Amino acid sequence: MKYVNNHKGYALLLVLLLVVFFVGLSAVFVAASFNNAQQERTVDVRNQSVVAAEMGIRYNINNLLNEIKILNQDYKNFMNTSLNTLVDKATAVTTAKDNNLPLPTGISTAACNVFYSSTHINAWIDCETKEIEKAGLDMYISEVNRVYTDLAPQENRIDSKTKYELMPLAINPVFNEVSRQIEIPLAVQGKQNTSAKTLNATLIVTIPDHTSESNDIVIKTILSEKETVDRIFIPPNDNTSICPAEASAMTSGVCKYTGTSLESYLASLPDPSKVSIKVDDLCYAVEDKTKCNLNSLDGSGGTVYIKPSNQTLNVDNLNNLQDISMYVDGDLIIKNSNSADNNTIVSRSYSFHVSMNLTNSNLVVLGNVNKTGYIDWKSTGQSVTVSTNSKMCINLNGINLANSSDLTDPSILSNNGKLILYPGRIDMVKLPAAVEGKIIYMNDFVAFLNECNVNTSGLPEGHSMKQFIDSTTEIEAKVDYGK
Amino acid sequence: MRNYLKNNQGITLVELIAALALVSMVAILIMTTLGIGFKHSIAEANKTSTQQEANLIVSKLLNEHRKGECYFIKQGGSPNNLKIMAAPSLCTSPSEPTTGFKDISSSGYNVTLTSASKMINPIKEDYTLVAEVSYKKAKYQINTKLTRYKTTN
Repeated sequence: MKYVNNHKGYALLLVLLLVVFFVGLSAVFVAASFNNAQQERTVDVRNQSVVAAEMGIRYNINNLLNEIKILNQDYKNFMNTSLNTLVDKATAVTTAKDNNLPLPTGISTAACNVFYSSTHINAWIDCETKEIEKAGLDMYISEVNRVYTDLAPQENRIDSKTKYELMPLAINPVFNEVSRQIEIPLAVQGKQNTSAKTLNATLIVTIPDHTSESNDIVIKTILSEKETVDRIFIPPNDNTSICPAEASAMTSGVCKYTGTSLESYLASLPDPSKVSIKVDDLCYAVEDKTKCNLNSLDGSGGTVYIKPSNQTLNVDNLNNLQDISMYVDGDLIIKNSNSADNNTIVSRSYSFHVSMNLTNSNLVVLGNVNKTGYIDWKSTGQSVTVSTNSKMCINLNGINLANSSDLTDPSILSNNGKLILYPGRIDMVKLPAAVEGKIIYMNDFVAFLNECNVNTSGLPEGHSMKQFIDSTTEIEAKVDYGK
Repeated sequence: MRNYLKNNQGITLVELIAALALVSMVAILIMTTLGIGFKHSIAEANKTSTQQEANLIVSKLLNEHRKGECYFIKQGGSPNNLKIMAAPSLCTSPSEPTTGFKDISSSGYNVTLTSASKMINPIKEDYTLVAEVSYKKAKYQINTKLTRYKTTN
């Protein structure tokens, strides 16, 4: 009590109070400052965890990219090998067809067996190509799945406080058939201290596609000789339209003529070389149905496709035929014809009952698949002369030489006329030996047709097959940072 | 105590003056110290506030950037056009969208964007943000790069 009542020592008390006051004041400032620093640190740590997660995404995506590069190479090899094998198979089939041999067995896949016949080879090739593509895609997808499964959940430590971790995912890669894209999901968690950030990424891999049509492989001569011959007698870009009454309206294309004055119709065409006229009965179309007197028929450079109903076109008089291309899908039997100038006459068989002198003309005999075609003039005691700038072309695979005139007769050719025969033979019975520039044997059927001025534009150039070439794979990564 | 209370003697004028003088001196000293302290405290608080606003701007823009969609950043807002604004934009069109802008910086702070005002495609490019935030007399310069994982090919 005495001590309390003591008046001494106020100064000390005052000073102590002041000290406490100032210390308290500064503590407030320090706390505010610490609070700010704490905030900064929190933001920093959060940013570090995001960066760690980004690092993990980059690491895993690079891993996948490397795997996918290897996979692309495997895929390319698989496709190239498979397609090349298919080309070999298709060539074997075509060769068999060309030589009228039975198609090789055991080369079609079960899925495409339904198309594997001599009449559906192109459809079979398309089917097999699709099967290869399907197998390629299946291989690609299963490999992606394998690579993905191999990405086991893993943890990588950047430093003692920072790490990233690949999270296990229940979702499998998703394949989109239309866009040919595989979406590979990834989730990576970045951690620093207690702050964690999970980034969800989707790696989008576009499976490389085939090249454009222009780079495709074209299998040549996929048509058999029979199919080629059949197509020769069909106008290119054939259709069923009827010719307009006014010839001036027919500027180009194909039409069926149903009138009775074909000669004047051809003459009135704006450009006969661009038009193909189809008729069933040439005699009726030109003039006279009963007698078939077609003397001095002038085709004006036009092309006429004739498909006689009974496979035979009998013409009584065809003297002085000129400026016409005639494709007769049957046997052409001419009773009277003395000369022909500037024509191309293509038929399956040919028979003259009088002597014929060809100038500037091509006479093409293509025959039939069963070799029943013929070219005959001697049986009626007449002769044929292939004279100035003319060619007589015979498909030896389509005609029966026993029913034909003797082609070794030297009087056939005159001036620079040529005899062109397909194909070359070992057995030369009733066949003349080759003479350079005069008697020519050819072994390429289409080249033979072209040499004889037969219009081959309607023939398919071949069946195109897809080819696989190097292409850069589109790989895109989308990262979702969440909220 | 009783003696003290019953004591009739006062303090002399000299003692009083001396006491007042001493108290005044001490009071002046304390007031001056406190005044300076408060002044610095306010300045520091402003500075901290400016820094926090800058952090907020960066965080908001970073969130926008990490969405991965194209956006347009520009100087704008009212009053006085001293805000940073952003709007979703078409990646195909680099021109300024007419609608959709929202404030990135808060009211009361004057923010001047010194980096380019433009359309940003975050999956293709980073954006270097340079801006100055001022609040009362405090100023803070932001100079940072907004990044996110970019599309790879």
